[in-house]
Amino acid sequence: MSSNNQTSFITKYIFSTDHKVIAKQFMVMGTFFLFFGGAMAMLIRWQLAYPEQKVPWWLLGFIFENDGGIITPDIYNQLFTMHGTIMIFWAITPLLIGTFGNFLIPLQIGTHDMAFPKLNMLSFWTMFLASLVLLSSYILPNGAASGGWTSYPPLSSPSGGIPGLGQTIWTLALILMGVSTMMGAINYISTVVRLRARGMDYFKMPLSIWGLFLASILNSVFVPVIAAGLILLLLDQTIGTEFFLAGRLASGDPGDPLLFQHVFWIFGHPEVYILILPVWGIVSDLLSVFSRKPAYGYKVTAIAMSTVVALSSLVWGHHMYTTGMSPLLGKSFMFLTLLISIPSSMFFLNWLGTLWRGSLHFDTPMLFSIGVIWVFGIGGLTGLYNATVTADIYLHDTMFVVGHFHYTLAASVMLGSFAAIYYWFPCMFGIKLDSMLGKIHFWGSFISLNYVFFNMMAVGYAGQHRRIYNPSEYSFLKHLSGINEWITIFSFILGAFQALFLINIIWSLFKNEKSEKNPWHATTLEWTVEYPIPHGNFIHEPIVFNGPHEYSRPDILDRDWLGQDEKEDDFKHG
Amino acid sequence: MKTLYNKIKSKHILYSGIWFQDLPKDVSLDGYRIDNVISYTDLIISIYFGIVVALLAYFIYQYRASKGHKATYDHGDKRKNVLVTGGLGLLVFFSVDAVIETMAFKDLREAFWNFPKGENVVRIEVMPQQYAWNFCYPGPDNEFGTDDDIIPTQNQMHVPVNTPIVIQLASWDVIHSFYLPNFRVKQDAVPGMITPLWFQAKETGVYDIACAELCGNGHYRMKGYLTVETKEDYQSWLNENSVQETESDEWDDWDDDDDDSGVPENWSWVWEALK
Amino acid sequence: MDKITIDQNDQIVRTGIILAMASVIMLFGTLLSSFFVLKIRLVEKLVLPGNTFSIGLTNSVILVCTSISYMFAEKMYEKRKYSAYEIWLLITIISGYGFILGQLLLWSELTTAGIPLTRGQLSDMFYVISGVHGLHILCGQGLLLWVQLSKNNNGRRIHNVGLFWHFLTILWIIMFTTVLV
Repeated sequence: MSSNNQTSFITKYIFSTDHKVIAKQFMVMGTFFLFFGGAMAMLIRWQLAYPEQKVPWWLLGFIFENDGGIITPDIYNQLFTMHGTIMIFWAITPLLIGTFGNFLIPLQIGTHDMAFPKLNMLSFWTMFLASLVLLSSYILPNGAASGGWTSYPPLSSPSGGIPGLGQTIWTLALILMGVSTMMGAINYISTVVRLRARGMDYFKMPLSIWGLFLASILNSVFVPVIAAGLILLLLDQTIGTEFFLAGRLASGDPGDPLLFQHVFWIFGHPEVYILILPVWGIVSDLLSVFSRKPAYGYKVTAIAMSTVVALSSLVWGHHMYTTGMSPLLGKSFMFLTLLISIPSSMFFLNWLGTLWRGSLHFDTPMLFSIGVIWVFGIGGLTGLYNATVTADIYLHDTMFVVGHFHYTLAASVMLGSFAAIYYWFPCMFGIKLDSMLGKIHFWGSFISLNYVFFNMMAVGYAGQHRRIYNPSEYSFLKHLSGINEWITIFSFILGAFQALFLINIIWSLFKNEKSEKNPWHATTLEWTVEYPIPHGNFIHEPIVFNGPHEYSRPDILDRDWLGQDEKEDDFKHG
Repeated sequence: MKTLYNKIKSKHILYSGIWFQDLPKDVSLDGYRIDNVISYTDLIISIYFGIVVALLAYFIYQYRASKGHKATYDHGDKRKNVLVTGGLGLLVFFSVDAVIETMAFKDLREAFWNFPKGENVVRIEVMPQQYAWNFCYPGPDNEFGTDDDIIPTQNQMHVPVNTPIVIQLASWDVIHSFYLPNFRVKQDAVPGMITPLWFQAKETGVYDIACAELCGNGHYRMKGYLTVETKEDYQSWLNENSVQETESDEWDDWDDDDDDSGVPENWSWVWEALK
Repeated sequence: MDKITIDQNDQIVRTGIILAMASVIMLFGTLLSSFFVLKIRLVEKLVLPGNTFSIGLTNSVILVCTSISYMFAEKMYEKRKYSAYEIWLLITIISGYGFILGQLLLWSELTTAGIPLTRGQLSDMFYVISGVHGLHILCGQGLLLWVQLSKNNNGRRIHNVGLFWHFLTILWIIMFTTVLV
């Protein structure tokens, strides 16, 4: 398999079917959109801190020249809509699932490539097409979508009052993105199920693979659900069907706006688990590597993650408590949502168990992993408020929810993605990223993001509701202008620290100091091959003898680790 | 445990918790229930997160890599380990989840879904539109859809103090959400549906009404004012508005309020029987 | 890297197909569920007036026949009766197009009978369900063409494509009967 004629530039770098190249393509795309979405966040924060004041030059103020330099309400709505959409589907999904799913799965399970390499390539280019469609909405006269990333009809339908085609283009872009994701999911699952190397049982796979595998299962089951909903929405938006229109806006038989919400959240809730599962897996592995200790309760963690996956399909109603659902339904959703605490607490405790009695090395990936423990702890615990029907009556659609999901989604995923990038950079590019810059990047990001998202929860606790252009309009929110300003300032600091990340990458690539093989002394299979990893990965299919976390075994002398494909007798010296 | 619960219950207004911001002043009859469950959650998760932070700090210090110090090779997969982890998981579940669930179910049953009936219940129909709040009062005959219905100026809602107010919500166009921060009230107004809610005010004053579901470019300025007043003041306000109603008929053509996107003069619906 | 055997590859492809089927089931499952939600709300039944029902029925029969003819094609290939195989495959492909044309005819008859798109929720859902299914049939047609054009595919490709094609047939029968109940 390593003798493949991928010689021309086009087949090697553009239309490559090599999972490692596709991974890097997703990484570039994801990083681009991460910064694009991040810039939008800065603009949203500007408006919330300094309502209707001229946007400064360093925040690209020139974009708003037509409106006297300020952000207008319709642009503001576009900003938070596209920020959410882009961060979820165009930043996190490509960065975690596209990049690390693609890069890690074949390498860590010990095979040559994905099950369907051509499908893999198609998946990337479909995503690329989806990106073009989405970005094209910016050049429309009425701009991009502005109905929120949840795009509830009737607002998101033509009779909802949003002018222009932005909303329709949004729907189309998302359908394409869904197709890309489905292709990826089928590929990842098939690869894990069918191509594991000899000896690589399910419970010998690294937990990163568990996370990516479970995320792909959710993807393959639930993305078609949202695809169906989006097809119906697209028809409502284009040819005049009224599936989701009711009341006065429906000219014929009334449809059901809540039907869209159900379809959306039946996908939407598993989606948030899709986004976090890779992080759960990666953090479990990295904590083990940098504690030089097996991941505590590996099997329990894997099963707990699977339980959460199963439960996640039953809890979508907790996003809809205030829609007037029947009491019994509300109570059932609350109960099922709360049940998720049990497996979540268990694998969270296992993270702590890994650190306990370990030998902790605070390299950059470890700092980010511990950071994930912190932010996911806060994020997960604050979910309890939103799960409670009564508390949610008050907290629904406030900044509290925004703070909660930014902790679980943005903070955890961001820190997790950085942990992964810093960790696997030597494997992907043969170079270790600078450690000092990495640590400064961590501390700057960690401190500022905690300030930003914690205080978002605080202002939400005080009642500030979501998606509003100017909170100071309301007397019950007037006292929050100071804290809103500080949130903004720290969000700018957070943004600025990401520049360090880019600088680190560019500078390290420029310095080009080759990293040693397996710089972290890790046991998993991706470190057994030298950079540059050839097409086909392994010359001979590896045979796996050990689990993925054989660190500090007392019977292994000279080394504190035993690779998955190494025979323990070779290291015991009789 | 019970005494701790009661302690928090009595101090809920004072306990602004770990969020460093206070909940808005609550002037409703049942809002305290929500504040209580929030306060309890505040307390318990502070304790648990505090323990996690303490453990992290301890581990980071105690187990940092140093010469000669080897990690303990422990997979944590023996039965006792699993039982401890499982036990702790269940502990979290029963100390937090089960408690807040019990509190919430009780509150829903006793208050929020326990709609008041009787003579002194004031019924109001609320119909948000892009971007204003419309209210309809049944008038002296206490029936909606009749000539004496009172439709006051947009965004101005008045209710009498210490009286149960039952509201039916519908929407003129897209989905909105009726949000009364000082009463811990929030309910979506979905077109094609009528959603009920109820509350009771304990104090007079003027309070904010906001829209809590994105409804377009003017979502942020869908501000209303809820005036809670004595029964006498409320009655005189009603009388004023019923008089104004007939007078303003003459001024129909002059009324160019651009918020009034076609909402007809005498909108209302037949009051849906509550189940 | 050691080569993957043909049997292994077959297993991999089968896994992929099963996963694709799972996704497609979820897609149509959502459309069908939405249909039922709207049906319950409107307290209505979907009625195919005039001869539209018989057209729909005929199309369904044609589709079942394509599955049967494809099964014959596969059997002939196994028996190495390659000319017979080609004929049955051709019959399948042509009948497949017949089904698609039949569906388009169904739509046009439905429109002239006074139920065009946007007329009502249940009929709109019928258009969507049959339309999305039709798009999948077109993909299936592409796969059939691929089978026809590939030389020495040792029967496995025929079998795998068959799995997908039969799946689409069964899906249609289930959906067509369910929406009319």
